[in-house]
Amino acid sequence: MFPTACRAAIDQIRTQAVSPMSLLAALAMPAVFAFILYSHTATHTDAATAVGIAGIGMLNAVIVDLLVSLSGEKRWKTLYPALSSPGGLIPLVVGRLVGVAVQSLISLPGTLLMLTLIWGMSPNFDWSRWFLGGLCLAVATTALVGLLSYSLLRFPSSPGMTNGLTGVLIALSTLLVPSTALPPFMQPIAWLVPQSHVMAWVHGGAVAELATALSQSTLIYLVILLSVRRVEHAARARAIPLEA
Amino acid sequence: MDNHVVRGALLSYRALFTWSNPLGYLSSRIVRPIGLTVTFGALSSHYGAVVGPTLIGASLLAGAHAVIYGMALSVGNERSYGTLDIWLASPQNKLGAVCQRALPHLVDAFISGMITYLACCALFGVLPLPAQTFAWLLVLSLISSFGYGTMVSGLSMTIKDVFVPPNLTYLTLMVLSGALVQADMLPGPVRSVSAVFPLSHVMQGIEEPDVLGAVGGEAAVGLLWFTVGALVIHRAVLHARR
Repeated sequence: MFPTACRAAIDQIRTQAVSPMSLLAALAMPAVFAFILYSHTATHTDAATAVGIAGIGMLNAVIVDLLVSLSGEKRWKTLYPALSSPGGLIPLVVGRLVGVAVQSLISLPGTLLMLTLIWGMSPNFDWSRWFLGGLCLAVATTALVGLLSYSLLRFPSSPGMTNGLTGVLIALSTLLVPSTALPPFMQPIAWLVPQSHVMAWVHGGAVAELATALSQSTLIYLVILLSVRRVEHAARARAIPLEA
Repeated sequence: MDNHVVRGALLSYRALFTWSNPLGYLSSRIVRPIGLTVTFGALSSHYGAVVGPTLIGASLLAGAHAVIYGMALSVGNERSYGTLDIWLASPQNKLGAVCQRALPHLVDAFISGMITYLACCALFGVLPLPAQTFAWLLVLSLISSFGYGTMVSGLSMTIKDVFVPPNLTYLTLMVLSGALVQADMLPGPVRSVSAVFPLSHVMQGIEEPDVLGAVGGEAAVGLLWFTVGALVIHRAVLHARR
């Protein structure tokens, strides 16, 4: 299973790392949000702002890359050979998710460079919160968006169906503002999203926030694995189509 | 309007607008703009700015988003389906066809912009402008967005990736239109360019009420981009025929 997962991760990076859409999602969209954010505040870049802006790139990139990779697997009809292999679909999906997460990390240094060049860096920039927060944000974002794997594998893809995720998840992830700034009914929902806890830690919160984010992410990854097993079962027992 | 024009417009919508499935439509035209408007509204309120202009600007952008992506897909998907060469070789007036294909997206854009505005006003508990006034502003901004969309359609004829032209042009609009970032907050050299982007005159008209200035400005911006779009389309067709 491990070599297959590694191969899928490497394939993901090899085929999509420099695709125009992936780079646009990971770097251009956060740049736009940075301009909008800095029209409200005139401070230098601190770790929380840098991680939040990078999080927007990660979120976009993970959605775009996961959609392209799994729908590509369906189009190339490679899911049937994977299904008939001893490991089933899980190594392939895990490998793709790892590849997507690694790929999304380009947002972290990419946006920091842009933010520093345009708005300067705060003298109290907390490098450890930036680095660790960024890594945890990539893990949490990939977990949450990874839930899409089930519907992408199980059902025929409806073009445009993932477009709304960006809008909703940017708000719920509290990447730019704390959850208290959201409309009241969205505030409790935001705490169900692991990125909110990562952002709370990056803003100076306790380590417990990070632990909560990682626990939530682990739980979501387990749900993803179980849902992929369900797809495998449906494909074997009821011959559901695994091609586009 | 001529039946033939409407029929052609609807046919192109059904055949080329791939987001016209229920999930895709709901996600792209309703959920996404509402989510983004909530984000920008929360950003404004968190930093102590008045939330009203942000809700108006973001909702107008929702309308522009529908026009830009709709018009881009209505041309770009000809390439995805392998019919672009045939279409370019046909005797149909390409600029006329692009305008015809824009019609359903203008209607969509109005619906998307209005729903975004009303939903987000309800979420934030404010109504910066009466719905009727906002509807007029939306119509005005769709005139200039249509011109801008014509240019994006022209780019979609030549750029292979369907989503690169609408993404790049929409992101530019988010920064430079004045809908989310006031023109005086932009860096010096960019500030002067802002006036040639759709929505900029409507947003200026909201800050300093000037109906004639807003109408004239948006119409001029629309005409400018329509002319650029016509030239880009003409060049793409000539290039394809050679």
